[in-house]
Amino acid sequence: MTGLEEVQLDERGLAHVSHRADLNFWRGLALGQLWMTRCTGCHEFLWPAPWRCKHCGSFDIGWEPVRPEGVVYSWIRTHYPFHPGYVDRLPYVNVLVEVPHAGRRRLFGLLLGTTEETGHVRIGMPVRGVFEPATEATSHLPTLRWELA
Amino acid sequence: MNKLRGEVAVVGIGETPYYKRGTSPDPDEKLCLRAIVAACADAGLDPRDVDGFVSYGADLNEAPHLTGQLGTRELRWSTLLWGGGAGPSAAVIATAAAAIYSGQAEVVAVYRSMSESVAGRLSAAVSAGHYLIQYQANGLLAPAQTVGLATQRMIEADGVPRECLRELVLASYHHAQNNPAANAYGKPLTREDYEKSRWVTEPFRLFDCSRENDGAAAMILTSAERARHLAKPPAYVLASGMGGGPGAGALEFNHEPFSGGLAKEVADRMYRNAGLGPSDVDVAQVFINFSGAGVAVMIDHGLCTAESAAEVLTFDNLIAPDGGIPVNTNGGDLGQGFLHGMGNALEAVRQIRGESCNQVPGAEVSLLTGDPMSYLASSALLGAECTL
Repeated sequence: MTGLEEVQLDERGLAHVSHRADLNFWRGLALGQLWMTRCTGCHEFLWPAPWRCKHCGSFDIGWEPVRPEGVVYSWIRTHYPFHPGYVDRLPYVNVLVEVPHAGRRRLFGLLLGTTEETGHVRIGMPVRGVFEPATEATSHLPTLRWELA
Repeated sequence: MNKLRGEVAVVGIGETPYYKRGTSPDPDEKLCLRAIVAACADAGLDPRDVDGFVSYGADLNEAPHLTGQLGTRELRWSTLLWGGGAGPSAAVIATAAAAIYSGQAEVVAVYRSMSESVAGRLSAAVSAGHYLIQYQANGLLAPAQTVGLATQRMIEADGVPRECLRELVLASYHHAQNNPAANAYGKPLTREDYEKSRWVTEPFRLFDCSRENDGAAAMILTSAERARHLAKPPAYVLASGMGGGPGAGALEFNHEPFSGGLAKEVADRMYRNAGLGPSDVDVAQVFINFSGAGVAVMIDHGLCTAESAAEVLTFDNLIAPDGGIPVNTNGGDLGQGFLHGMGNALEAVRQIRGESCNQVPGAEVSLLTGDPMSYLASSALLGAECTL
């Protein structure tokens, strides 16, 4: 047992994820922890969280705590107000982060920092995770943000 | 080579004007009917003879809503293809060809229709299935952002010069200057205009981005045998396919290869089935929701490599009539207008007929691609009679 099942999410956030295989990911973020899926049968890390392991066929998918560290795999800098909740952050940088402690699976997130700091972002740079609580902008779900290490 | 090669042909094309998004006088269902009827007229066929219908992505116009208004004698084939907004935009050809060759249907209409004024923005319907909560919570809601991530990796990790994106954009706008129906007609674009334009989502500037239109486009396919007795020279389906390699799929940025496109396996299979290769392609209509997708899909289809992109993807080489590989000769998704890739299919046919506003002299093999950065890729090779 991971204890994640006990975590209470904001009901508005829960509505987005209650049916998804990554429900425990969000519960983990609420605790300030990164949990990812790993096959109980063959021990491969799997992401996005699946119902079934593509490697061994097992439906027994476990959860494992992972150190929130990674390497920038790609990035974008958004200038246009696509997302109403992020308008006050424009321009903002999103990073796709390869997580070496989770079989090099990749997580998508916001890169924190001033415009000058995030202006240095390049593929291959190390980043570390920062946990932020749920807000209206994050669809009432806790998030894993990143900052350049 | 594949059994389908040359057995089916595109015999009719039709489209409505490309209205600015939200300004169509007609709802999408009416636009759809107009495009199908126009394609039938182009072929010299009675709309009542259409017995199969194929569309893709989140198109709202289900065949059974159309048949009563077309006077369909017998509905035999009704298909919507999965795979993102425009991943399957070339796969409509594969699907129609399979239906016709197997005897399920005889005359198939493939189409795309959208009208924001009535139905809401179709990209919103596409997005609902794409931009899931892992993205939304982190500020991502738009295709420019997802395509931007793959494109940035293509530029920074694979070493494709970012100027290649610009050259593809300039070629699209250049071709649109000869196409009175194009959104960009009368609005030429210079390198300076491009470089000065504002960022939307880096790596994309304003002119790297398509703009959705209200409008509809349709094509009619039938057997090669029947095609030879119709109004226009047939554009034969040499091969068409859809799908992805072992790492492809809707995997929240964990698909492989992540960098660039997902169309290589589909392209390779298509070339094998046609008995042709990239060097046989005379003219290409490549999908460009954002310029990076166009560059990626050209690499996937062997028209250049990451290493040779700087040499191949130059304005002079990309324009008709004299470029080595003219692309998007009606202006394409950027210059003509954006119906999630369907307009490109019609232009691929015009090149085989010799009807393009920027005709490539003697074009015999015409390539069409779908979106390489969606969940599913698709491609088609059309050929003139002499390629059979």
